[in-house]
Amino acid sequence: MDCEGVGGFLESILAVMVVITASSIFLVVLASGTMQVEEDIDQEEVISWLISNDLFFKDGVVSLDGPGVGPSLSGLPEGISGMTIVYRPSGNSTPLVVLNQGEPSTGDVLAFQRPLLIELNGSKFPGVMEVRVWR
Amino acid sequence: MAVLVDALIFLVVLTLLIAVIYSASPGKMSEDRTEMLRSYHSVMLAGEVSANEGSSMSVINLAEYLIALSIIGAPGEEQVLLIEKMVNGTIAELKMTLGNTWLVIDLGSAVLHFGPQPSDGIGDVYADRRELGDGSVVSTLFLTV
Repeated sequence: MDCEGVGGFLESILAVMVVITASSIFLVVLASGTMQVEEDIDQEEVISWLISNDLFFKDGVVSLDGPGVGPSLSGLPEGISGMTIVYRPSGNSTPLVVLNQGEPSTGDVLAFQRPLLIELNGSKFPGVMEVRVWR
Repeated sequence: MAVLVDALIFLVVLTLLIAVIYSASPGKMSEDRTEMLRSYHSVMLAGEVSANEGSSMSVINLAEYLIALSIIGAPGEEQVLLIEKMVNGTIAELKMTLGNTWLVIDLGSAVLHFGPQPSDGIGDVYADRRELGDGSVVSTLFLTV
């Protein structure tokens, strides 16, 4: 740079290269974050699978034949290596039925819960379905 | 050198802009909470209450029970306790998972409150309001986070 503060040609080229490199790194970081999100388990897909397997009904009732006796979990959604489903009354942490399928979790676990009506001994009461799934 | 400083400023501004865009989208979370509140409210109102054991009409859900009570008049202590028993689980569940929750049921002749109502200075309040029957019964489930 000369005494008037004006950069030389080579310095300008260097600055432009730095800008381009930094912008590229920045974009790659953003893109990798997006790809990571896409690899996460889709909660809506899991819910659709549960509905299609009669394990959850948005406007229906899950019937239990008794404590510990209820629907069975056969198979897993595509790309899922394990799943746990717990049915319990609302406001009560004691499970009525626990369903397990697949291998134990070794990494990230998607956990969510949905309210639903539970029918037990001829009575329908508000309950909660807790789901944990992992790849 | 000046160009380099400009480039750095540009990157800093871009980073801040993206951070603002990401943080300024609370709509999704708000929608999720509203949807959860609606779901829990629906399930709570659909829960069965055994009003008259032994009767062929003994099994009705909470919404139907509230409509029947509004027709009869002001509910007695026994009926209020029964309603409380029906709604307490949902209120406790939402309190555990989402935040402070309370329920207000307007039966026309009486207004019933369940769950602890927060004092002043609370944060965001979400509400799901349902008019039952001909609209004479209104059930509103509140959530604050």
